[in-house]
Amino acid sequence: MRHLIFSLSVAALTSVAAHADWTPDIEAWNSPMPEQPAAVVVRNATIWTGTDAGVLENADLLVRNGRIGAIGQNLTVPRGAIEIDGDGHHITPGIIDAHSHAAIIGGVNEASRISTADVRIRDVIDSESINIYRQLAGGVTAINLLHGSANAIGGQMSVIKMRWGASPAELVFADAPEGIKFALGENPKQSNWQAAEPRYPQTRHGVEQIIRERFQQAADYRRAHEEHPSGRAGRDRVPPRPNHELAAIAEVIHGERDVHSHAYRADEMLALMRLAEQFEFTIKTFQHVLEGFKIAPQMAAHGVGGSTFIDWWMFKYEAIDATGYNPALMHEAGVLTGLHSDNPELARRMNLDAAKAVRYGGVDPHDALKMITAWPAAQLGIDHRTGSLAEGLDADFVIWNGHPLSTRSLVEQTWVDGRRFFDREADQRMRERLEQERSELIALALASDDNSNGNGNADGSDSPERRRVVHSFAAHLTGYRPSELDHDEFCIFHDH
Amino acid sequence: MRAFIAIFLAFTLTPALASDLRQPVPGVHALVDVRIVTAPGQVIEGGTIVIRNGIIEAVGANTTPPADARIHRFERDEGQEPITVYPGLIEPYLTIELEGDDNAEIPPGRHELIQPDRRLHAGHWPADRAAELRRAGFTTALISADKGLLRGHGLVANLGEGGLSSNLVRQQFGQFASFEGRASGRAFPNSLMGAVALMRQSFADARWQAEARAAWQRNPAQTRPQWLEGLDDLAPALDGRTPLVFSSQDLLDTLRIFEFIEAGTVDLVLVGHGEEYRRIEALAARPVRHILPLNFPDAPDIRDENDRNVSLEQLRHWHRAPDNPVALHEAGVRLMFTTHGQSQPGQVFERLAKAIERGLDPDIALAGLTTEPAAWLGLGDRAGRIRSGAMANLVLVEGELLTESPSITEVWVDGQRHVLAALVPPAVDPAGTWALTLGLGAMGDVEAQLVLSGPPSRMEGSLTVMGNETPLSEARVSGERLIASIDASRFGGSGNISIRLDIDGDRARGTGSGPFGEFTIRGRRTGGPDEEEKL
Repeated sequence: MRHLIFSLSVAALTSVAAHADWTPDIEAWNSPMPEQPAAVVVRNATIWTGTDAGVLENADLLVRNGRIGAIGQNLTVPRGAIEIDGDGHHITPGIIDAHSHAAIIGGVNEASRISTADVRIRDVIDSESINIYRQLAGGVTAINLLHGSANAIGGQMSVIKMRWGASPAELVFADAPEGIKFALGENPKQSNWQAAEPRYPQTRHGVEQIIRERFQQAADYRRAHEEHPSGRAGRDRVPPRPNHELAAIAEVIHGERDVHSHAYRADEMLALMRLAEQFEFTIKTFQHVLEGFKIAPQMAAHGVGGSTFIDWWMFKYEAIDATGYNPALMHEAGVLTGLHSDNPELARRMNLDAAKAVRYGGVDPHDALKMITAWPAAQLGIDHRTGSLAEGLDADFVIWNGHPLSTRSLVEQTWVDGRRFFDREADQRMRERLEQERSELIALALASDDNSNGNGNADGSDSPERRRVVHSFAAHLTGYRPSELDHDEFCIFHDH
Repeated sequence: MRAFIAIFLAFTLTPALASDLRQPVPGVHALVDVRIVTAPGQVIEGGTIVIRNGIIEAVGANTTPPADARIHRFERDEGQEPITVYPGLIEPYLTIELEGDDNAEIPPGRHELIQPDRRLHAGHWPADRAAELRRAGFTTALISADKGLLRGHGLVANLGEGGLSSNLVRQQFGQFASFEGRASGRAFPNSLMGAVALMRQSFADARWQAEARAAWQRNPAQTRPQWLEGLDDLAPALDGRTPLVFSSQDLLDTLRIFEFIEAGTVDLVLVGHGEEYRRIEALAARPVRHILPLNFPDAPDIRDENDRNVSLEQLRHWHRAPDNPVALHEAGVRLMFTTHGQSQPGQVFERLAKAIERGLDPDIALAGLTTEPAAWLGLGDRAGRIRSGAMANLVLVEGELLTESPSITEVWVDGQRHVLAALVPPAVDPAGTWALTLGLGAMGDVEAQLVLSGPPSRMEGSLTVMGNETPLSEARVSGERLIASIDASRFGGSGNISIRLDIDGDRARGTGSGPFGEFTIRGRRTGGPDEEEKL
């Protein structure tokens, strides 16, 4: 699949290079935060609750001050409530993508050390990435920004809400539990790329060993810090040196930081579960987990979730033994199962991946929808706030113009925190305004005398980062700034 | 001729003598009847500035030049703009590109990107950039290294001739930082988030080191803490005793730095990027002092209707960028301006003129080049304004300085006059033959003969030393000064030997400099132009 994309993009590079520097007309910084009405009601829609309440026909959804106020029929609403006619429409919870690298700037992998637990995605959230708006248009309301998979123990993750226009700090999902990326298999052991100086470890059992070693070091680290007397008593005692890497790993083995581990093969997933059990904590999810169907009962027993592709495989050796029935099989065995994107483009069509889970394995359509909403929310520990539609939860929901698992359906509106961040009609109107803005600026530029030297700026250093003109292997990805594409060997065409 | 070369070479091999020669030629000067902008918004019409040995001795409307002063009077014709004297401008972010230490072995316990203990030395002196800046009216700069995450201490120097030893004003000012650095190869860090993590660990280590060392000093009967070389030098910035000057790459970087350096003890100063207007509310919420580049883009080339390869984003930034300084000022941010990133320092005026057009108060603009950086650098009593006791750092302009293309005629650094252009009409005619004595310090004197002909604004001539006649490559008169140069290759050196002679009737006095060193010149006219034929 990925290789197909690669071939297509190479073809695209030769044919549409002139369009490759297409840049979005909208920018986050000048996109105002939509208002949060005191009351909004959507009437007479088909509501997929994502809860045991199931799918409700001809139901109303009431939103009050950013939270869901009530769901039911013929709801009484406060005066002045904004009324939306939901007739013929479906409402679902906002889509939650548990595996994304879509709004990260300056590199997705800190690929140097075998453990980079001290590295934080929080520091590099790209609030200006057009992915946020594009994914809103696909109904996505929260994503988990993960570090890449170059290291056995990767960086600290960050869950964000898709508040297009907000600053990085405002994007952060404040209530989300802390988490960290782990990775097993070919990527941490450097199977698919050549390093002048190979890094330890180069085998799967070496990966298990290095994780075990770090766990032990982290336990020692935590103990040393706890034993250092605080206050006056410790004044004359040399304190242990801080180590942000071991501090984060200590949080893992004390159950204070969830592990989301990239893994394909059954054997190494079993090994990591056993290791975690020895340290008395639970792995939160396996990511990709293509061989999850082989060990689904063991996964359920451990309590680890499975966050998987529905039909992406064959892109490397450890990703061969795969099946589209994997989500269904894991779900039937009692594994908390979700579908993830791991790709900013796929993320806009997650509803179709859910639909495929109905086709392959006969998953109940409502459960299939939960695989991209309620269950990834539970995997991320944010299900007490979002991922389903119930009174008191955040008003993160999507209005579809048809059945959400249909290829013919489109997102009409996407609401986050009771704010309408995407509205297909408003988007159309906005395009006219942007065209006008462009004409006005062109007129100003033509009238100005500061382009006398011909082509743009004499000093390359003077211009802020331009969006990429042509990128050798990513020409089909338009509208990205160079530093978004300036990743490494794992990105764009490799899985993370 | 060979002897002449030998003498010049001898200088360079005799450091003590060379340093003697680099002393400024002592001088007492009075700039009379000039318009003086002593500080932003403070103007003296028809005033006098007295300079003695590099220091401003007096300034005022009714100041009388002392008897021993050389009088500089700038005759202006009807309709000509008055000569205006401004305080010398201050560049707060002159960076040195460090070279050569890439392959240096990194000792254990150190990281190549963490060099808070780096100190610049005389060998780093950016002579070319200093000369460029001086030509644009800058007389003082804060100089720092541009490499790594923690880049070390800066220093403040004037931008006169002669290197660091004659120009150093203040050592060890500030600690310089950036998230831009990456390790080489596959070493940590090779991503932005890795760079932030390394910086965070280094800050924590520096705090720990202070605490751990102190505890061990009090109680030595315990395992001695590891010593992390270099991190002690971070302490002054962590304690707020010296500013942490953080170079921000873009708006997201600014927000990142704000999160990284919490408001409080650290005296954070940002080197800006020009996109601050985009989320100005974040700057208003935390209006830290900014060193701001004026990197306004030119208008995109859109004249060809069928090939308008320009994004709305580019157009927007082109349109909005000149609003950035006034937006920051209105957000409560104190501004200093830098020429950093500009190919020509002089572009700063064109850009500031545009910012003023967009509503930036001209006094704020001038303050950002003078009083603001002076106060920040702790030099408020000696730089940034024209006052008695201050360094004699001045910029002379025909008319106003903050225009698109100001006519800077002279720049004075430490009382040393640098005439930039023949904008000052010639006030003397030195045509004729001059007998000169070149003062080579302890090596003694050398006699020379200078012959000049032609109009003062464009003269021709030759210099004869020890029987060897060498043509002048350039000779012109500006005011009362003859400026001439000789191709140094004729003496086996590279570049030019330049000569500056102040003409006073039939007497001349001045200095020369070239690849071999500096020398003094004195002499008198022995024959007028009419007698030239007889020679």
